[in-house]
Amino acid sequence: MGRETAGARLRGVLVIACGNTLRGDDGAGPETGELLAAELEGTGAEVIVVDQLLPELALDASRSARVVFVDAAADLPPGSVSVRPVNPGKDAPGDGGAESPNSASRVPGAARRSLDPFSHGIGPEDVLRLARDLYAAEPDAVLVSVGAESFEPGDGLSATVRRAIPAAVRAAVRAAEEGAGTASRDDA
Amino acid sequence: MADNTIVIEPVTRIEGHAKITIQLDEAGKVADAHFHVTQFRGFERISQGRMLHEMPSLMARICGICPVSHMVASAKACDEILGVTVPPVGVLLRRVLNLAQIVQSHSLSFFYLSSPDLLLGFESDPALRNLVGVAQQAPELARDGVALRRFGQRIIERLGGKRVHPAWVVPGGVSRPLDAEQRASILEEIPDARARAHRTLEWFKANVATWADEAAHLGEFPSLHMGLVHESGNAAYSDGLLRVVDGNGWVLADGVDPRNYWDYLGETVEPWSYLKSTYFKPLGYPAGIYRVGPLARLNVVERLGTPAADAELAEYRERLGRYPSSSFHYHYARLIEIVHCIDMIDEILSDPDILNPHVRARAQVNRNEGVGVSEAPRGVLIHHYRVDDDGVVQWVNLVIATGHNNLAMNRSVLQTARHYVHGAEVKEGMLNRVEAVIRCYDPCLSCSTHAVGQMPLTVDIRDAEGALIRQVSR
Repeated sequence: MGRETAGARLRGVLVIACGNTLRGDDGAGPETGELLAAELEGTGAEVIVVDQLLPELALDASRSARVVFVDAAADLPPGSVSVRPVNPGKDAPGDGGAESPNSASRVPGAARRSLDPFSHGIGPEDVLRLARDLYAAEPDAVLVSVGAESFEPGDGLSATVRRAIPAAVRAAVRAAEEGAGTASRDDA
Repeated sequence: MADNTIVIEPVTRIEGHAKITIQLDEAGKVADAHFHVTQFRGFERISQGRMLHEMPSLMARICGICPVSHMVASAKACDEILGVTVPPVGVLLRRVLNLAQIVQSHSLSFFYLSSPDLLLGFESDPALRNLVGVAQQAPELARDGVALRRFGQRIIERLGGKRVHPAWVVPGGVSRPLDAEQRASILEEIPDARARAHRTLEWFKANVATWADEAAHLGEFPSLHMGLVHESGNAAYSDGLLRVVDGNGWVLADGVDPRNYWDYLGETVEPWSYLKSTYFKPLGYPAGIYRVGPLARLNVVERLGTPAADAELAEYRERLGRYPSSSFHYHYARLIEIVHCIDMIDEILSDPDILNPHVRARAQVNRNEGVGVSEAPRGVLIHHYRVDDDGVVQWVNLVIATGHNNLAMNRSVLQTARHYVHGAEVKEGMLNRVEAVIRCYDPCLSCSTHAVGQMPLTVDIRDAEGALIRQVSR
């Protein structure tokens, strides 16, 4: 994948790579994001690398035609890379009817409290929902996920995840160029 | 878990992880309550063996929300160990970064974490009681919050090179001077930020009567207040001397060099939390309870030092008294500080000398111990290091703003629980108010939990009447 020396073939594309570099494989997002910043230089795409997704990213997203989120995932086989479309949720956060882990326990009965997605960062769907609700913008969006092996405190990726980074970069570049893609898996 | 204990876990819409336990008596009334911090970070131990020059960058990674505060305090501790005087423009640039940090952190606290309660109601549907709900009900308020956060973040990014964990603050000053283009771009955004801050403050003042019951019961108790004050009596967020006042304005300590904090502040650890409790030594533990952060800062200073903010401060004091004591008023104080910090950033950057290229002093280790203190968004932050002659870190003590407030947060939780929680029927809104009092303090628990070593654990074995018959400790 060569660098563009001029033009803006990916103008309007925003890459948001997130993760905590002090939590093991959670650093996969930032690691991928830094590589993407170099890879996409000169293409017109913007790359943002953050510790966690926060509401102000909705403003950046609202100014983009296409958003590519990059993050580590706990629910994928370590070292695998998946791409799936992301949409702003229609329901309020926490809806779904499942019992919330945030229950208050007491006797008698129990006071059920919904999961609040803003207690420590938000998800890609929430960023898009805010972009829609605050700025009337609905960019296309995908999430590139890298299956993580460990989120234990520590600086550095596991060998398994480190080997997956080039595949994550390729997937993110493809997603940036192709738009919101269908779900796919690409084991590194 | 006893049948008459209510547990709120996790506490929502705060930074970090904690739980609250409320102990009911047999009649269903609140007998006791505690705020437990359940996460552990251990930076005091992780730092040992590191080189001095690494410390500001390492300390910035304590927290993704307030990294700048740690960088500034850390760099100041390093400055003392090097024995340098930071060039005046280096001091000012660090100050601008710290002020931007306060703007973005206060905005996160108010708009993202607390405004859902204030706008939608403490007993509103919890599924919507978040920023999404605010965006649907009051989109302009939500947009103002997003914009103010972004304003602060963009300053940090422009000065520091990245919006999270910028590495620009270094021992001796900052790593590079400000250029004219950066300065112009920041100044260009100030009018919009200022307008949004004032608009939000006007909205809050127009609605503050709505929350009279919360103001009366969310942490309304007398305590000491502590903060940094400039020798002029103005607020001092990056430099200054410590002042401690009581609830009537009596000064218990003044002009204290923060490097001598150990003379005035003690720390202790309770078995039910990873968060250390700090207290004012002359009054002992736990009588030496005090508060830091926006409420305390506005109590200890005579004025802020910028006209618009001082006008707001005068109105605040007219409404609430000279020394407000309800923790609910942290929200009001926070909004005034946003106005002040924006005006201070404007004032500092408008001076042409801010482009001066001399921003860093360099030296080797000249002392083996250094203390750096600054006002983080949540209150006084202290970094205390000891190094060997090669600059290898031997020992670190961090006194975090949220730790200063631990006793006050626990007292607030108990007071709030006693007023709102009634054992016969526990409603979600009751529990939300107990959480809400914690949110007044805007604790950053990621920052706060560092002491490493054995987690003191005591098991009390009590008989049916509650008498202690055996105690086991490790």
